[in-house]
Amino acid sequence: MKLVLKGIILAALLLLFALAANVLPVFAHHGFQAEYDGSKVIYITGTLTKLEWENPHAYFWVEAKDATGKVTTWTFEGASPIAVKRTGTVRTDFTSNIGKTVTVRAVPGKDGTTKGAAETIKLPDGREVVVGGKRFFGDAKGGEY
Amino acid sequence: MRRRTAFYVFIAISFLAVLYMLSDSARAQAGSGQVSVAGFGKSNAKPLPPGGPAPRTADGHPDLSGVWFPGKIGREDLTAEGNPARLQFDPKVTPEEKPPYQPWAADKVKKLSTLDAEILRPSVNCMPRGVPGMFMTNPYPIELILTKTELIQLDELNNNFRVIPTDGHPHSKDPDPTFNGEGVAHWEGDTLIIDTIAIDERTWNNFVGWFHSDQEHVVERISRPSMNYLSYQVTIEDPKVLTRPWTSAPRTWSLGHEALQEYYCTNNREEEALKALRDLTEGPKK
Repeated sequence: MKLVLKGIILAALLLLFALAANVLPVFAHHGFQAEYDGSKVIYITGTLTKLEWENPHAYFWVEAKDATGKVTTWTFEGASPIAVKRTGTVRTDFTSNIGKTVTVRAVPGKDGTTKGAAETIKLPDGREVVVGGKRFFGDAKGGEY
Repeated sequence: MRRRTAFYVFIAISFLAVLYMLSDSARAQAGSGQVSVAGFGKSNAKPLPPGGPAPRTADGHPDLSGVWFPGKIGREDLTAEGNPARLQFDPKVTPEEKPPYQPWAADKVKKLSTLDAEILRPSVNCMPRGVPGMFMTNPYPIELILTKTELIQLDELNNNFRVIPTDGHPHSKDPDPTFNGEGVAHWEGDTLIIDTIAIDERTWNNFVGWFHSDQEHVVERISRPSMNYLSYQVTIEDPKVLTRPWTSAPRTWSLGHEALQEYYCTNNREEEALKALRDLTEGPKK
């Protein structure tokens, strides 16, 4: 019995250690971590259809085909337009590409719907521009914002 | 080694191996994880040099006026997560202790579910950061304007502002609570001390649930050690929530050379999204 207990405790400790090593709390200035899964990165290619360029976040929509060929609408959240502008990305990077094909790099929502918190958008002219802060933490530890 | 012991050690090791493989596959699923935007996720930004002595006003005080960014690089650097140049203090050099909550308050903070902690956070529901949130929980720049009689603070975030008389007059009796509180300042040498009471109880002192009572008393200390730097430190007393006063680490803001932008919170979708997620994961609540 004692050995079973020891084994279980050991396994539990190892599990805790593994989890602690992989899951560092990153407290952003807003609720990104509660809503989006920073351990996964996704690339969605489709037609840019709409932009909302307001605070606290820019939002934009992309119509993409899923694995079955069905068109689904993805909702992406970016940073505040003020913060985005300070990276050099401008509103016309979006508005002049409505109706064209783009690829968005994002982390997916935790609710399983077609939404993501976007990091970059690749435009038809080949430029990949920043639309949000670093969201994907799968390849590096996160830091305080 | 006994067979049973060996067996259980084997189970534990296999468990760990499976976990490692799972985490490895999560990384693989992500693809290369590489962004083609140069420097994304990192930053080469170096802290600003001191820049010479701070300018002085006619009455000899350091002129605190300027556009100030949190951290040391004098600007926003959105993709530079974790860049030390942007941090306001180094916890290894000047650690900041956790709030010394009274047991009932510690319990209340602990009991906030992750999603409730997000939904109630002023930064998510677009409420004003208030005092000292305007400095303590504000990743956006501010502008300070020091006149002969007032310190005016403009906050890019939510287009907030506060006006603080600098003549050190006593507080009024029982002021109505406001998000910025009733603040009065006076100089002690080269440091401006702002004393604030009557702060609306909806403000938080950190991002993770530090609520306060109507008895909260906030003393902020602001100085400008050199042209390019502003130093900020705050002491918070709250006899209903804390066991003793708490003082922050000295926090650094650096001089910017751009104008504040307009920021009205007119399209907040987060609160709704978080509430929907909370209903989904924790069950419906008010």
